[in-house]
Amino acid sequence: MSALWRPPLPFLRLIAAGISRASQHRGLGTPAGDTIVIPKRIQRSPTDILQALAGTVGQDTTGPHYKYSDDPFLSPYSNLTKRSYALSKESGRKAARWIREKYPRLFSHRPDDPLIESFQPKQQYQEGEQVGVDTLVGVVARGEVANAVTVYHLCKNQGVALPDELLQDLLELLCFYNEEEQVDVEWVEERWYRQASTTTRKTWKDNSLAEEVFASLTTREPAAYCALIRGMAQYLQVDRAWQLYQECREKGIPLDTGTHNALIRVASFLRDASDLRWQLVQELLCTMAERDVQPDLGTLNATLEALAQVSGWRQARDLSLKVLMEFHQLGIKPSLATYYYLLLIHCRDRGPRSDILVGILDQLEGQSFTLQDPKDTSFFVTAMEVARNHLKSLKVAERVDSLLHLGDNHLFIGDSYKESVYYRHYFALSCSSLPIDEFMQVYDKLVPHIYTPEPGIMQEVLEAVQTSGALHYLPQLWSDMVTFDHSSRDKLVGLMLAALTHHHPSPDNPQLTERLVTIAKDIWTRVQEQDPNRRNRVTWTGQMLGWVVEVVVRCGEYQTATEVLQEATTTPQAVLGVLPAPSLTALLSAALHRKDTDTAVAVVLYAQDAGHQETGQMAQQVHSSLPLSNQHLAKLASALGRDVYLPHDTPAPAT
Amino acid sequence: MFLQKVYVLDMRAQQLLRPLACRSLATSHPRAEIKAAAEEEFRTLEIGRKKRERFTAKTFKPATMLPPRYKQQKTDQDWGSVWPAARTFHPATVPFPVRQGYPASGQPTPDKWANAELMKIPNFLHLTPPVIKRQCEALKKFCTPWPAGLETTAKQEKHFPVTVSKSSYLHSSPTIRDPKARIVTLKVHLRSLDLDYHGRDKLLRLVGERYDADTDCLTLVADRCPLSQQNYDYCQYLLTVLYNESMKTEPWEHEKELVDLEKYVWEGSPSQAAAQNVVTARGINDAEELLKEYGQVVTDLHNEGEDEATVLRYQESVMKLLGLTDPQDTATASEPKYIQGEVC
Repeated sequence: MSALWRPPLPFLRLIAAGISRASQHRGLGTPAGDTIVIPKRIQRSPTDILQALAGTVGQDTTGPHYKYSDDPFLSPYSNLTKRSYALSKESGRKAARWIREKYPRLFSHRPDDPLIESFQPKQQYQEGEQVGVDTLVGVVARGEVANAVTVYHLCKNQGVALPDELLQDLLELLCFYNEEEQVDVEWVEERWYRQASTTTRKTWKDNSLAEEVFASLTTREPAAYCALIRGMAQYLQVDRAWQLYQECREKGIPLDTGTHNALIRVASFLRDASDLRWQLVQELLCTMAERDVQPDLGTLNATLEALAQVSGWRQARDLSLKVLMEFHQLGIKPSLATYYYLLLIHCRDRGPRSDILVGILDQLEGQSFTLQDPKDTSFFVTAMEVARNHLKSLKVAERVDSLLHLGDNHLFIGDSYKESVYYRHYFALSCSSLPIDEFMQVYDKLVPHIYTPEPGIMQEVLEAVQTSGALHYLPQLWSDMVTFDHSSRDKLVGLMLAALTHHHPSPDNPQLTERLVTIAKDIWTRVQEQDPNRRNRVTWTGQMLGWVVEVVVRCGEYQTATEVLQEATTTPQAVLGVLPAPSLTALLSAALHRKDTDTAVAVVLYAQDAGHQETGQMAQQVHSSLPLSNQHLAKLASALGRDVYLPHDTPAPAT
Repeated sequence: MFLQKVYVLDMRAQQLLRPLACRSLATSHPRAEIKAAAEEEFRTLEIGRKKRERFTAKTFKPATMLPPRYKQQKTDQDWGSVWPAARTFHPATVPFPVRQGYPASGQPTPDKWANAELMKIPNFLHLTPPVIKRQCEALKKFCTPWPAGLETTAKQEKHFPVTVSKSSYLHSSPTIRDPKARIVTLKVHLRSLDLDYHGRDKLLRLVGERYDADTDCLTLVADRCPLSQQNYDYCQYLLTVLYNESMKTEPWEHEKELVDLEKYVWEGSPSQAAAQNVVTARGINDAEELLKEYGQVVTDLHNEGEDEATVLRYQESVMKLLGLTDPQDTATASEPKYIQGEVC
């Protein structure tokens, strides 16, 4: 054996990615011509396998979101509890972060290897600290606005010379964020639940640090002008932005695409009339063409945004389509924001009907999207709103929904407000379009974990159930209403009671009768046991009490009916209005049936107080069917007057 | 008088302050009762501090709860989406009834609700067969086909006789390090190595316990270096050195003595001398075969140990050597033959 014997290539069964020597080699003793070819390893990133496995997991609507505890007691069901649970969980994380930053020397244990930057406390810069150019470079690179301002002031106080590139970076940072620290990316729940502020007020900080930095630049590069104009336009300091733009035009300073886009976006603030606004936008576009500045997707979206702000103008619709065509010829692919603006322009409330959404959906079917513009997240909400209000078509709504649930497109729903509005439209549209059984399938799928209906939508659902007569859904709806905190709303409780009265008990649905009676009793006890100091309380109306009485009497719960009557009689000032006559009649007949004289007399007296026409009839009924004691006769006499009800041959009671 | 007036006025003031509706809906009217009592009996003279009404502790009604989740689950739901990863058993989510645990006397086996036994043990609800199938389908795109020509174990061993394995570890913690990840194991069958008798014997002496005779597998484990790359190189080096050393014959190896022999060698042993003596004493001329057979049998007895077969063969061979005949052979055919080795 030669001393230079090399072992044959090991048969690798390695799991680690470090050692990969798979290539063609001859094994010892392999006959010639019998080469084993090992295929090349398929390259994959560290998380590719995890992503592939995650792709096999679909959506499960029977359970709460992953961020909540999956427990029947601990899962949130109403909108308020969902929001408060998520935010309280995050406030715990914030508290932990605060402790970490306040007492960093207590947390010297560092198990992470390699070092994880985001686990380290954020560097704070104090007054007398020695800072240099590198500190400022690092802070600006990490995008920490407040720290950048502090360090800049420290540098100036200490007389540190700052190079122009650094000042340019700092200027861009300040212009982009308007010197305000943003909500940390880590606080996902806060970002999810915050309302997007849609103010049209100027928020730019005049004469503050950004402009100071701009002034302190030794050489004013075009980039500096671009940054400042963009920042001012973003935060609606339109006049100064326009001024700077004119200055640049005069001095011949070239501006880039983004700056022109920003100016197009705020063109509506510079002119009043619609055609003048469009004229200004056209001028800007022409200037871009002259200066050979290439338009991009931002230009398209800005132009359409400007048109959306003059959408009342008759020509806006045609112009938008022409703009789209022209940019298509330039090879610029539209993003979701483009379609959002198109919907705003074409599908207006008081405008003619437009089927552009169908065309858009044809275009977008089966695609997965990437985020290209901040307004991309508004597309799906607007599309669903158009499908509900403008087109009133469930088919279109379902197409939009299937597009949203394709792959990762669900991220384009934006934030919680948009999500709730989206599902509200979808839900209401399904309620009005689908037969009740199919709608309840949609209800079961979405409620309560994906979407919790608001009181207005719940009202529509109740009305739909009542109209279709599918009263077997009422128990589920009532328990949902209680869970979502709708049981303290007068209108909904009233609607529920009205729906209950449509039920006629028969021998073949005793279970349903029992459950519906349970609902009525539950409503009764719940309202009676309300906390007197609560602000949102249900106040009984006579109509509601009448419905309660009707339902319980019809389904055989006499005891509750007597309680209701007692309540109405003893505290009439708590009830708005009076019990209507049909319910009193029903109660009376039940009382007569059970030979309950006290209740019967009480009913008659109440009817008399209420001033119903049928009082006399009722009194006669009572007198004829039941034996009345002297006390009862006296009461009736005092209330109604002797002649009204007594037959003529009855002797007068001895007084 | 004055005190009574104050008391009555106080009541009225309080009545005015409370809102209308709550006054009316309060089912008990303590003031009314007091008022009624005051009208019927003598008015009470309150001396000292007025007893404040003790506020009853607010009874917290349990939050309204929906029924457990499994009641909403359809029978044809996608279970892989409900239970995607390993998870502690949760009774509200698992749709089937399951019981575990030792029952208390007179009680049935504890059910799934709040069952610590079920929660302690690992469950494999996240690995149902359809889910496994789906995951395998998803992972197929990362797999390359099995190389042609390596279908059987024999072929694999022929082309790739050496196996090297190492593990990497993932922790649910901020650190990615684990000291066990440096361990490298190298396995090779000795039949794949081209060793002669001496080389094999020397190699076995060198590796000692690292060789498993049942599987003919040499296992080298290296963990002395901090990096697995280094340990791998060390394993390679070790194999090379072992092979080369075992192929070499050092001069001092000739000093091997009888006690160092790895197996019994009959040639030159006292047994051979004794047998030779016997043969010469008996005066057999052509005793090569006998001796050879005898030698083989004695070698077997020493090398393979004593068991019935070897001892029997030894017996036969000795008898042949000594020229003894089996007393059984002269027996008449009518007598039954003893079965050799019969236990008395």
